[in-house]
Amino acid sequence: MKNFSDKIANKIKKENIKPKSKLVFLLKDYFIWSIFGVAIVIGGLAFVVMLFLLTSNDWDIHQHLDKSFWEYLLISLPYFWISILVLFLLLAYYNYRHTKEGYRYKTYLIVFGSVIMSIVIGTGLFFLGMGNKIEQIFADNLPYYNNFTQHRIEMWNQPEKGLLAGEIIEFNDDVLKLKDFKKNIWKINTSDASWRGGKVAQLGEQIKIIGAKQSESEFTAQEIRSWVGRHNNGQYNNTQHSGRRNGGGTGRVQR
Amino acid sequence: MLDNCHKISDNELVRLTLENQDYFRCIVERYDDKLLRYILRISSISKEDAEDILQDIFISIYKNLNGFDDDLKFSSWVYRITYNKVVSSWRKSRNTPIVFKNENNLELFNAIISSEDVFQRLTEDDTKKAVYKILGKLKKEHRVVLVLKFLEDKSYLEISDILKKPMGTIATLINRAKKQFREIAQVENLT
Repeated sequence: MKNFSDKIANKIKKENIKPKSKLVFLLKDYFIWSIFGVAIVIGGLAFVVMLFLLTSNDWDIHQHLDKSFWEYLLISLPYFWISILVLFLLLAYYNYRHTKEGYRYKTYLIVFGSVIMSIVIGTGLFFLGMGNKIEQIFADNLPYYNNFTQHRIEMWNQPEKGLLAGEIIEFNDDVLKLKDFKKNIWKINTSDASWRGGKVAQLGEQIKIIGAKQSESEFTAQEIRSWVGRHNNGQYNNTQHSGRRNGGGTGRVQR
Repeated sequence: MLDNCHKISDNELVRLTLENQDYFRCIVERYDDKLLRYILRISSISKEDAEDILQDIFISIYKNLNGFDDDLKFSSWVYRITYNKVVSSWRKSRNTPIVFKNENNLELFNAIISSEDVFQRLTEDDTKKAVYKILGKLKKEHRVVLVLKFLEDKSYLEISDILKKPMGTIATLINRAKKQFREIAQVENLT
């Protein structure tokens, strides 16, 4: 169709049509790959915080809450972070699909690859001890983040069920005073209490106590744990925490 | 200069066109008949409408020449652009009933039934009617994969590159398309 090629050539000349610059295509490629990379890294950050929250969760207190392990598991899962992970994995999938050769791979392969990459990044950060720090950064900077972690505070604010948590405001050998997260003051008898990870009582330290309520302001402790702690071979290493006082989230409770 | 363009490879023509736009005529002349036939095979539009779409397709090819990826066959890239333009035209005319009149589509029917005994008893007239009915009722993506596989003689890899779907998905689509083709033929009592 000689006439047809003439028609096209004339149109190109008449309308001064030019090929788009190679740079436009390169930038588009880089942009897609960058968003993919960012999505994978944020997925990794979500995974490290999930890992931190799951490993620092008190899996042994479900009896105090009159719940089975599975019920307790359901209320303990970090849904916020699971949602973030899923959201960013979807973003990673979408972007990979739109790379030059992304269409050649099956959906499950791309999703599986993205999940593995986020898990590797997250696990690496976890073993570098970044879980707590990253969660704290989100807690300090993400509006409304504390709403998602409020259930943990409420779970430990049930003295009638033997669970109490708050900040040490005074202590001596066998007694300490605690201000709970509702700002009530408690006198805690610690004479028969065991301290997970060794006794590290200091003013301002946030702790969780399993024990028995004696009166409206008195509580007998059986076991005391740091509010923030990474479960490590059955021990909480609560000497690592800096004791920041102005944080929110699961790491430090904002009052 | 352009008399020898039949001796030049597609990729070389792309490079030359980016230096001298006159070489784009070679690309147009190499692909216009193929693409026009392809458009008519996968859609139910008139030849005049197909030529209008084809014009847009070549302008789009020219504008995007710098985005052509050497890892692909140039023909796959060109067919991909064509497919995308045809899909756009489908979207614009969503409510237009699909009525096939293109005689070329008989080839599709013959290509598919050659391995299917069930269609052998049809007369030529019956075959034409059957083709029009079945093609009009096939899902669009089924129609496209059948055309690419049986009429355009594209490999699975090429179809994968044209439709931007994994090769496994293409194999599944072709099987489903053939199945739907047979089912429609049976429901319409065309076998």
